[in-house]
Parts: sequence; C-alpha cells; structure tokens
Amino acid sequence: MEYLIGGDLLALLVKRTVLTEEETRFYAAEMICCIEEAHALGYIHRDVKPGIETHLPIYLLYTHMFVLDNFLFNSQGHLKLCDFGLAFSGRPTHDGEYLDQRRHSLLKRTGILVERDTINQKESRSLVQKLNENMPPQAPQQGEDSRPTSWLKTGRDLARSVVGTNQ
Amino acid sequence: MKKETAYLRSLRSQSLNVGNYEIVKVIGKGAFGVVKLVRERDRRVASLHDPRSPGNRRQSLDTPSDHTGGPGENNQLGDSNECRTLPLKATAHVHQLTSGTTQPKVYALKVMQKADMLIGGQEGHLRAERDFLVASQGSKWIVPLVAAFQDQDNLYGT
Repeated sequence: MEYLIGGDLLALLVKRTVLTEEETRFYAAEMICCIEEAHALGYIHRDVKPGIETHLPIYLLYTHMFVLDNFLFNSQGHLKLCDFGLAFSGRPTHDGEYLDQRRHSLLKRTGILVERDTINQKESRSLVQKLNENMPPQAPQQGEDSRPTSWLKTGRDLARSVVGTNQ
Repeated sequence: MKKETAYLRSLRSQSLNVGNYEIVKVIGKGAFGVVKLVRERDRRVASLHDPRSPGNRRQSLDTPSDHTGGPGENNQLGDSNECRTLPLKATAHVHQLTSGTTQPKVYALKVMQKADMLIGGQEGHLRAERDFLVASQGSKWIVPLVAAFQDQDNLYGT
C-alpha cells in the first residue's frame, strides 16, 4: 500500500479533542466519499465503527473508537480509507465458511494428507464460526446489508467530533 | 511447453519479492500480521531500467541526424517506433524518480503469515481484501495497493 504520511483521523481527534465545525464538515464530506466509494464497488467495509458505549469510562473511550483510525491522511491532508481486512462483497469466494468447506471436500476427494494439518473439518468449521462470532457487532451475517450501519456510525462520529465527547 | 517454462522462469526472476524492499520500521500490528514501512531498494530500479536506457539514448540521438524530419516524422513510423517511444517515457519517469525526488520511494508493506491466516480461517477475508483493493485501483478515496506478492511463508501487500 502507499504509505500515507499524515497519520489517522483518530490521532487528530485525540490530539485536538474537538474539531471546529468547518473541519468537521470537511472531514465528514471526505469520510462519506470514502465509504461511498467502497459501496459503489460493491463492498462493505465492516470495520467502520466507533463502538463507543456511553457507559465506558473516559480513558477507554479512545481505545474503543476504531472507526477513525481506518481513515488515513495523505500528504495533502486528504482522507483515504484503509484496512479492508473485514470487507465483504457477498460473493462466496469471499466467504470463509464456503472456502473452508471447499478445501475440505477437495482434500477428501483427492485423498491428500497435508503434513502437520491436524485440524479436522469439524474443528475448522467451529473455528470459522467462532471467528464470525468475534466479528464487530455491526459486521453483518452473509447476505445482510450493513451499509446503513456504516452511515449510522459515521454520523455518530461526526457528532462526537464537534461536541468533543460521547454526549 | 519448453517456451512456456522459459517464460515462467523469466516471470519469476522479474517478479517482486521482499528482497526488493528495505525495512525501515514497523508501523502497525494487528490480528492480520504487521505493517512495515519499507523503502524500495535502488538496485531494483537500476536493474530494471538500466539495460533499456543506454539503447534509448542512442536511438533518440540517432533519429535527428538520420532524418531531418524530426519528431513529427518519428510518430508515423508505426510499430517499431512505438517500441522506441515507450522506453523513452520509461526512462523519463526513472529520471524523475532518481534526480527529481532524491529519496527512494517508501511504501507500507503488509506482511501476513499464511499459516496463521489458514488456521484463523481468514482466507475469505484475505481474498475479499485483495479483490477489493484491485477493484478500487485508481480510486481517490481508497488506499492504493501497489503490488502483492508471496513467498513460502508469507503474503505481502505493498
């Protein structure tokens, strides 16, 4: 990936605590462009989440604000969206469970024994399912549309940037 | 068959690997692996483009002396000329890289262990990420993927 030199939006907010209305408007527009671009390509990011719960103590707030650190600044101060490790398109080839099944059926059919591969199909399936359980709460199940969630989180973040806290 | 193996070999020898990059520092860690700040080694730029550039220079010097027509005539020479102009642009680009900006290019290199990814059932996520980054090529709003390669143990995205 291109190295984006400007750090991330979270770092900026931590440093400044509050952004001016004008700054917020600007970054809001850019965040919307970023998310819109991903949606236009048929993907949902699934890691655009603030995840701030209002009952959390203040020192935990920032560690729970994941969303903003996936927006990076380039050298011109514009935002770019990064970290698509949880992105999903709805295609089976992007579905862990499907791939796992396919691998095991292939191994079974061809009778290939992979050295040191001690995880059997049942274990491996439960692993994948467990992984899906550990997904961030707004990450949808396959087929579900999480685009509205992306927008909800973005909106909450914007409000927070202006107000300064999680009020 | 023979031809193809030679072709594949040439691909392999040209292809990118970690050796093309010099690691500056680790800039991020996560469940996926590490992201490192890397600098492109000068050697690669030199070895890729040097063989072309001397030939180029000679040709571009030759043409004006042979034909008085100059650049206008050059463009109508057809296929053989296209081969000539393309490297010319390439050398210009390299020239810019080496003299215009004195520092070599830096990238963020994401390193992921294949074994960890398979054990963690991350295959789908990896494919989705890679396909997305390819689909978003040229986008203004998405961090661009410059290259992706692998070796026996790791996957790399830069």
